[in-house]
Formats: sequence, structure tokens, C-alpha cells
Amino acid sequence: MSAYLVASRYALLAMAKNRLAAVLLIVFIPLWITVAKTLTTPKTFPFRLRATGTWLRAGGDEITMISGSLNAVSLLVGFLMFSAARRTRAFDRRLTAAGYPATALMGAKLTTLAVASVLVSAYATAWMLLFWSPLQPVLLGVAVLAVCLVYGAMGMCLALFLRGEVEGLVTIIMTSIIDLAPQSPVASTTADKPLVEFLPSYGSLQTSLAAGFTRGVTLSPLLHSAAWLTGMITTALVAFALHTRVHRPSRLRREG
Amino acid sequence: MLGPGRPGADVSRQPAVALRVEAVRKGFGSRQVLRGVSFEARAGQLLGIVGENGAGKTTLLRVLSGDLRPDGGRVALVGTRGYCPQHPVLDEELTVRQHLRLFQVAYRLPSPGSALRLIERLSAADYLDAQVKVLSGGTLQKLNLVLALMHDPDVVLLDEPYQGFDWETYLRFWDLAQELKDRGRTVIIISHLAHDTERLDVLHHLRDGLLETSPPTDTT
Repeated sequence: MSAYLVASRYALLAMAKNRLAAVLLIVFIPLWITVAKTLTTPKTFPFRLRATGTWLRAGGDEITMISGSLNAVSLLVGFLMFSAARRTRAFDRRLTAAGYPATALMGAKLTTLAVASVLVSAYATAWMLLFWSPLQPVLLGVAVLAVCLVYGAMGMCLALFLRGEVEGLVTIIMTSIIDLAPQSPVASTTADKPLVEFLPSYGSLQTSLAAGFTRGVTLSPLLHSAAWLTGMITTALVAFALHTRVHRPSRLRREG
Repeated sequence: MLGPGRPGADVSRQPAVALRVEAVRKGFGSRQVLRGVSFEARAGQLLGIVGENGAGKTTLLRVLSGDLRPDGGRVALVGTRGYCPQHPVLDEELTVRQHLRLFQVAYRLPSPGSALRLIERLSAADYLDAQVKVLSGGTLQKLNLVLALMHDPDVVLLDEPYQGFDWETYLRFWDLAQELKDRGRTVIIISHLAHDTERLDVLHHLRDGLLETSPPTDTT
């Protein structure tokens, strides 16, 4: 089995043992979606979809559910990837010093990010579909997947700077709140501040709203997500490569 | 046995130098920890470095292992090295067997045979499928040590390798060290205790960032 396959298999096995993340996945996501859909107002009101400039009408409960779901999956995948990167930080260094190919370990990390994001986004999208029939369910799934990938990569980056698990969790929670709250159509119906386009979940929220309430396929906001993802992954991988550098000694010639 | 043996040392002449450390300096901020450490270790030598807490022993071994870049000086060695850090560096979510598999890949070993034999010798075979996070401190240290030795390196760097060992395992550790030495490997052991010194061929004291060599110990 190749170095990449061994590392990926063990990284996925280790991730599956993260009990807190499993509880959050099984309980927190359905709870958030249920609360958002059942306790908030179904009254419809108009808002402008910034990505297309069109005015739409949607129920407050549906908008809150979309926003809440993106918030929940961001926290979960962000925490999962932060936790894994933090746990293996010193061990990865020892492994690469022993000769393990760093590229195989990087590949395993990206595989873990992809698998976690696909699983969590599919699960959250399925729960949303239980309560609601968006016009483009597949596009909704893609939007949720995008935010999972962005926050997962962000978790990997945060593990470079933050040591404690609580520090990481709090930072991810605060980032997600600051990211999503100002761009929710409930809070900002006109979305007329250009700065919202620079927020990490802008692409996912715009795409989710387009998937829920329009029939047009609007992929341009996902370019914002792709830019965030590329930036985060590049930072995490460069930092990983620097962190696992080994200072090779000079070779001493074997004497007869 | 740890692995294939090598031709025995020719007793008629001095064994070859396997590790050469020249004027190594390392500081952290304004604090100079190593201020020009130099020494040589030969094949088949058990070399000890002792010193008080904070003397820089671990920093020296981290420089020798390649974990830290020295600010100045040079480290040169023959062949491969194995490094056992002071605190076990492991993945708490994986089992002992999974660790052995990862390091088998890292060292490009065709089979895990040598690692399994070492685990057996250190009486840790019952824990092969246990997750590292449930192991005792002594068993963690056994795994930490096996990961440094399983590829039969030419130069073995051990930082307080027997902490947490019970008496039986401690004695087995010294048997292993003696075996490595007999097969021409170079073993560098760091300790803050001086009571093992009769087992060593050479003893250095690290004091104020410099090495002071003790006269060869009487090994009767």
C-alpha cells in the first residue's frame, strides 16, 4: 500500500474517533435546522440577491434555516480539521523526519478534508430537504459543500497558530458568526455593502439562496469560495512543509 | 536481533568515527544554550551526556537529530540515525500497530518484523492493538523507543530513554543498548542521572553550554 493510502486510511480512522464532532454532527445539525425552521417566522419578505441583482421573496424561516445550516456545518468541519491538524502537528514532524513523504501526508490531509466535507454537507442538506423543497437541491448541496471545504481548510490554518482545542473552537465560532450574521438577508435586505463579497461564506450563502429561490444556475459566487479555499489550503500546506523541514547533517565518509 | 549484522569491528585499530560535532552553537532569543559543543563518537561506542536540568541536553540532541538547526557549527554522521525524543511523540488516536506500520513506510522497511521483535522484547506485545491514548507512561515510552530503533540506525540518539520503565524493562533496555554497541552501532544517551555511567564507554558533562569530558569510566 502506498504511503498516501496508509496515511489517508489512518487519518480517516482517527477522525472517525472524534466523539465530540460525531455528537455535534448527529445532534447539533438537525437541532439547529429544526429550531430555525420551526421557531422563526414563516412570513415572507423581499431581499436582493447580490450575486444576480434580482429581488426575491422568501420566508424568514427558510432564510434562517439556510444561514443556520451553513453556520452549523462550518463550525463542525472547521473544528474537525482544526482538531486533527493540532493533534498530529508534532507527530507529522517526527514521521517526516523519519522519512515519510511529506506529500503523502499532505495528500492524506486534503483527502480527510474532502471526505469530511462531503459527508457533513450531504447530511446537512438531507436534513434541510426534510423540511423544505428548494428549487435546485443539488446546487444547494454544492453550496453547503463549499462552506464545509472553506472552513475545514480554515481549521487547518488555525492549527498553525493556536495551541489549545478550546481556543480553536472559540475562534471558529466567532469567525463563523462574524462571517454569516452581516450578510444574512434578514439582517441586510439590500446587501449593498461591497465588503460582504470578501467574507468566507459569501459564495455559499449566495449560491444557497439562488438554489432555494431561483431556477437560474448562478455559479459566479462559488468563485469567491474557490478563492478562499485556494488561499487557505495553500497557507496550510506551505506551513506544513516549513514545519516538517528536517535539517540534514553533513555526510561523514565511512572510514575503511 | 534488530536486523542484519555488520562485519565485526577490527580490534587492532580504532573504530571509525560515526558522529562528529564541531563547535555547535544554539540560542533561543538572548539565551545561549549551546556555546560551542564539540565531540566525536565512534562506531560501537556507548556515549553518555549528563547535565543538570536546563543544561541544554535536549537542545543538543534535537540539533543532532535534525529537529533544530544550529546557529553555528557542524554536525556530520555516517549512515542513518534514529531519534527517541524525551517525551513520546505519538498520535493518541492510533494503535501501537498502526504506529509501527507508519514508521515501516517511513523507513521503507519490507516488513514490520524488527519492530515486532523489539516490542516483544520490551514486553509490550499485549498492547499492539491498543490505542495510544489508553497506554501507561511506561508503555508509551517503549513505543517511543521502538520507533527510534526499528530501522536499525547507525547512530542512535536517545533522550532519557528509560523514564517510566519498570526495573525489568530498564535492564532489558541496557541489554538492547549493549547489543547495538556490539554490532557496531553508535549510541548517544542523554540523562540527568549519573547512576548509569558505569555502563557507558564515554561520559560528557554538559555545563554552561559546553561539554566537559570525563575520563573513561572503569567498566569492570
